[in-house]
Order: sequence, then structure tokens, then C-alpha cells
Amino acid sequence: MATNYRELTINGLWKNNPALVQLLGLCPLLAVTASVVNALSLGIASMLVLIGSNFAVSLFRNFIPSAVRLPIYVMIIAALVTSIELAMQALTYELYLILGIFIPLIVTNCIIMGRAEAYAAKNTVAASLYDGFIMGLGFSIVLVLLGAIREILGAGTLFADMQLLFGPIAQSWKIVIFSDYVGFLFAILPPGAFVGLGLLIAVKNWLDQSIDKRKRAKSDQPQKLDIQPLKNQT
Amino acid sequence: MNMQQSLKINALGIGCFATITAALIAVTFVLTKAPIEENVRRQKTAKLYEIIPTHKFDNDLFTDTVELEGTEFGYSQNISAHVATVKGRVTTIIFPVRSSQGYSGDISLLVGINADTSIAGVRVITHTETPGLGDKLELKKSPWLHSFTGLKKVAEQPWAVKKDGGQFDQFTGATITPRAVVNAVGKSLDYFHKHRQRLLDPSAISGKNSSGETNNGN
Repeated sequence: MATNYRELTINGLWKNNPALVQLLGLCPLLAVTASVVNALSLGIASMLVLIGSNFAVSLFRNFIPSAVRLPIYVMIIAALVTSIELAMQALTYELYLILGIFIPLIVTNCIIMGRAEAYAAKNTVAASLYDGFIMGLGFSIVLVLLGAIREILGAGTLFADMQLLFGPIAQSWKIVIFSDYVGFLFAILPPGAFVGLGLLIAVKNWLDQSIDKRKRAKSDQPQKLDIQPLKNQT
Repeated sequence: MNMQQSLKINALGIGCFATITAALIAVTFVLTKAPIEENVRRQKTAKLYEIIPTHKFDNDLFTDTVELEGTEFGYSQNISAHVATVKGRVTTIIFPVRSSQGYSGDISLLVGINADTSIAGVRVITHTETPGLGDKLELKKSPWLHSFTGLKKVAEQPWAVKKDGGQFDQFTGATITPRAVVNAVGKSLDYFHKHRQRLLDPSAISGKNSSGETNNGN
């Protein structure tokens, strides 16, 4: 079976985006997106686990007895998450303290189990690696977008504390958007996350619809003479 | 394939993967053990050094501790207070203090008190106060914690937030959080006054020349 990387890309980033369409992994998504640095770190950690678990599952897909495949997937995912948690403690300890419980909670992120079961268990190693990467990227992009919106509204800054992730060079990355900003508490608290995510999903759906409409309008043109324009619904 | 066979295969499968994944975790654990311990130690000492700059003492602040009954400081077990000395004389003691009077959850603090009963510094280790209101406890957000530094507790000036008739500012929209911190610091000062003699005795310091685990009761 030839792998269609173009389709995988479109699926992971847009059509089947884990956060905006599948709505998976919302617990960490909503909890850690108060700033870009938190969102980006959790996104990277999730992506690494996703790539690793897709790799391992597709590598062993012919050896895993199908009756017990789910416990085995869970073991693989849990081992990867534990390793990444330890690595984060060793390399970026401050960030580990901030993200806290949400790193071990990656185990329960349904995207990872979902991709293992739905994709990696049936496809080649290379395709599964790419699928893990692109799904992780789709998830991370939404995390970072939401993090950026909430950080701008809530704290009036963008890219604050990036040195936690990238070392001292990132100290100067912080952009103060509104100086002397008192902060918009709502954006930092959980309701802000829900509303922010809802708006992102709405924008995505709106874009989808307007693209769809334009496409339909184009394909309808030559037929206009034959068919009554009855299609009001989209 | 009969039942026994499939059982065997499944058990074998799970067993194999359990071994592999456990091995993976074991390897990572061994590789990261040393750096993690170093990070934890650095994190803990960094807070201590914020209260007393390193040039103000000549001992190992991290290992030199004195064991105290934790109930006075909001802990159920005994606590270890870090002791700073200069030429063997105790200059500052840093107490781990926990307040359960926070708005949401406990507030863990470090309270440094000098031998002359003035405050050397107060730092918050962990808290779960409301972001935007109660989190002015963090020096990153507000210099409020600095208002303790150098103060002594005297009878004519009540040790309380302004709302309770005292000298400490509360935050806009949050009185409970600063009140909790002010009270916790006040209690530590009372304890220090009461047990000053014993606390300033350098022979009480444990941990010297021993690898004694420090336990903050967390």
C-alpha cells in the first residue's frame, strides 16, 4: 500500500486535527495553555510520545497478539512518557516543575492510543512515524495558538519565559504587547481556555464552510442552466 | 487454536513487552538520576541563597540543619531548619513554614530570621492562590514579599495586614492570601523569640560531617 503523505499531512494539520476536530487530549490542552512556553513544551512532549509510540507499535505490529494489544500499547506509551518525564527533570527542571502533573497525564491522552490503534497498528514504520509527527504537530500548533491568545489577553506579553525551554538566549524573546497591563484574569483561568478553544474551532469551521461554498459555487456554474439552485444547505 | 494455546501466547506477549518497557524505564532512570538530584539540590539551595546571599555565611547551608517540632510551623512531622553560621556563630536560621490559611490550599514558605530577631527574608515555595489576585506572593509578579525584610516584631506595632489594623499592605482583591503569609511569618517570629537561646546554640546543628537526609516535611 503506497503511503499518501500529502493526505496524512492534510489530515493531521487540518481535516482531522486532534485538538480542533477529534477534540482529543482536551484536559492538558485546556490546563497548560496559559502561556506560549507551557503550551509549546507540552506540545513537544506529546509529539515525542506520539512519534515514539507510533514507531514502537508499528515496528512490533506483527508480534503483538491482537487480544492483548491494548494493554501492550498502554505499557509502551507509559514507558515512553516516564522516560520523557525523567529526561525533562534532568534537562529542563524548571519547566518540569511548571508542567507538573500534565507530563505524566500524557499517558491518558487519547490521541496517542487512538493513533496507535487506528494507524500505527496497520501501517509501515515510516508512514507511522510521519503520522505521529504530523498529528503531534497539529496538536502542538493548536496548543501554541491558544497559549498565545491567552498570554496576550491575560498577561499582555508574548513568548515570556522562553528561556525555560531554549536556554538563556531566549531571554530577550519576550514581547511586551501592552505595557503597564493589569491583566485579564478570565483569559488565564480555565473558562478562558474553553472560550478560546471554542473560538478556534468556530474559526476553523467557518473557514471550512466558506472554502466549501466557494468550491461549490465554482462547480455549480456550468450546470446553472440545467438545475434549479435548490441547494441552500451547506 | 485452543484456549490454552491462546492464553500462552497472550501471556507471553504481555510478559515480553513488560520486560522491554521496564528495561527502557530502568535505563532512562539510571541515566538521568545524577542530573535530577543535582537539579533538585540546586533548586532548593537557590531559594535559600535568595534569603541570605552566599557571602554572608561560611558553612554549607544545605546540609547544616536543626531539627524542630513541625507542629509550630504547620507540618505534622518534624522539620529541618537551615542554619547559616559565620565562624561557628549562628547568624540566620531559615524555617520551612506552611500556612493552611491560604485562599485555596496550603502556602509553603521559607522564613529567614536573623540572630537579632529581624527578618532576613521570606520566600514562597509553592502556593495555589488565584492567578492574578493572590499570586502577588511571587516576586516575579510583585515585590510585596520584600516588605518583610529587615522588620522586627515589636509590641507597639501589630503584626497584621492593614485591614486587621497592622502595617502590611494587602493586595487589591485579595486579603486572605497576605493575611495567611503575615500570620505564618509572625508565628515563626514568636517561636524564634521563645526558643532563641536554644536555636542560636551552634552545637544543635545536625548534618555536619554526616550525610543526613534533609527532610522539610513535604
